[in-house]
Amino acid sequence: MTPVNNAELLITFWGTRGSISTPGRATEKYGGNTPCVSVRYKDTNIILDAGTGIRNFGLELLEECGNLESNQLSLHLFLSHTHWDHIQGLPFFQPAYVKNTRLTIYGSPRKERFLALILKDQMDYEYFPVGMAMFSAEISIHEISEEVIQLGEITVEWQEQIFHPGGSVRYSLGANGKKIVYATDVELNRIFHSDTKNEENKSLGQDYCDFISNADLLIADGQYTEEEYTSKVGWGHSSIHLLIDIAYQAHVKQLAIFHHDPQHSDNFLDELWMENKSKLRSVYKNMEIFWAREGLTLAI
Amino acid sequence: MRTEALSSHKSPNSKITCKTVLTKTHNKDILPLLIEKFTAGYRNNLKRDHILYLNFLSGFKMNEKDERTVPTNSVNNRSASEKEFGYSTTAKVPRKTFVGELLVKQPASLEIILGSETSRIIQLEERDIIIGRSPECDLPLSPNNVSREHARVSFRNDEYYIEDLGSTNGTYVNGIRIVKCALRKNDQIDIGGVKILFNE
Repeated sequence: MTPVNNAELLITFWGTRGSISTPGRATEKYGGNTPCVSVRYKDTNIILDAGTGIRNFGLELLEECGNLESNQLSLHLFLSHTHWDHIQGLPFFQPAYVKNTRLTIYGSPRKERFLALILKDQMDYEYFPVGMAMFSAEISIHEISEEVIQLGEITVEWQEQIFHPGGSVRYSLGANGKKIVYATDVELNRIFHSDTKNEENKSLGQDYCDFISNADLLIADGQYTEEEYTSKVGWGHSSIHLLIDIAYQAHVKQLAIFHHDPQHSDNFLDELWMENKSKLRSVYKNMEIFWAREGLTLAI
Repeated sequence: MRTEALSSHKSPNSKITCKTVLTKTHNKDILPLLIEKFTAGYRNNLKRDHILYLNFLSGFKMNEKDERTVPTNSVNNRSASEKEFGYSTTAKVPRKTFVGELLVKQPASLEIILGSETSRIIQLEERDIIIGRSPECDLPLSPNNVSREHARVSFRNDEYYIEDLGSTNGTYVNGIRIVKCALRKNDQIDIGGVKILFNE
């Protein structure tokens, strides 16, 4: 078991791939599972998104906790949105089938349908043989209304992001004077590089910068290269260099580029890094940049 | 034209028994009703045990007459050659012939490539390897900025992991300070300035 220093937030990447899971040799380094990140501080466990990566997290939790029948496990799952790649692992999350688990799921209140119904429908008998009613855990589904949510010693703040089809939510987690921001599935190019420099865009840009400002760790959407982005306008994802620029201006200390494109193999990402690392290190001093990688645990 | 779909499934461990005959005709009015009856029957009876349902699905086999016939475990479901000649043309090979001949995992190693240590290669097995300044470690490193027990390499779920053991100066993988990290080919580990290459 990983030694736990109680003073630190532990962040583990269980899934970093965007859009669809990409198993295989070409993606085993940065990972093929879709988004899931766990954050632990003392006794509080937060999960960011329930992509296919959440399956491995569930197995790890069961192994760590031993007999869950006698140990209660409390988990808080925050969904950025309900596209497949962010919810598809939930039916395979083993702790949800264990009686003594308490799982609270949070998501946007601005969906056209109730969040509970959306999640229940993905486990409809036509799509999956086990219905959501078979979850033995105590499940509560919460469309966020509070501005700030306090979970143990972690404070969670959130904002809606409009530049993604159907919208998405970004989260900021604060504890022990540290700040982690999870802001995936958003097309920053349409806010910061838009041809229409209107007041709304200025305001959206300022909101984003304020939200990520001085983050100790920013986990953010960087799905495309600048060249790729030109043919993906309106798809709801950001280009890598723009993300780095904005993060640097907002004094982010560590940037995990996340939501890798399904076409980006390990070799592609490694080569991209090698081509750009000198420039990145000289221009963006004092900000550590890396590709989010499945199976990696960091302490903040 | 008329085709029949017949399914029959009975698990020895379950009291659930289902037998449904679906007649597929060109009558478009009747077909949806029959399909509904067919699937509803399985919903009601097999919902409690979805494994049975999956077994049932995998048991279907289409034959030349476009008929869905009984599951594969049935005695009637022999290959064409068996039906025709009464015996199989394929010789049976006991499973144990294969077991033990396959390499379960590619060999993995740690190679010291840079630092004050002499270059060397440590083959990894399935037991844990402790790296640190203590001479009792499996991989002892002498620099003063290496903690006595600095990091552990372990093998879990067919993967090698490295985890920091609360060291003073940290464990780095490809330049990132980690608490724990699944290792991949050509990962560079840095422990107190000693660069170690993971290979498999």
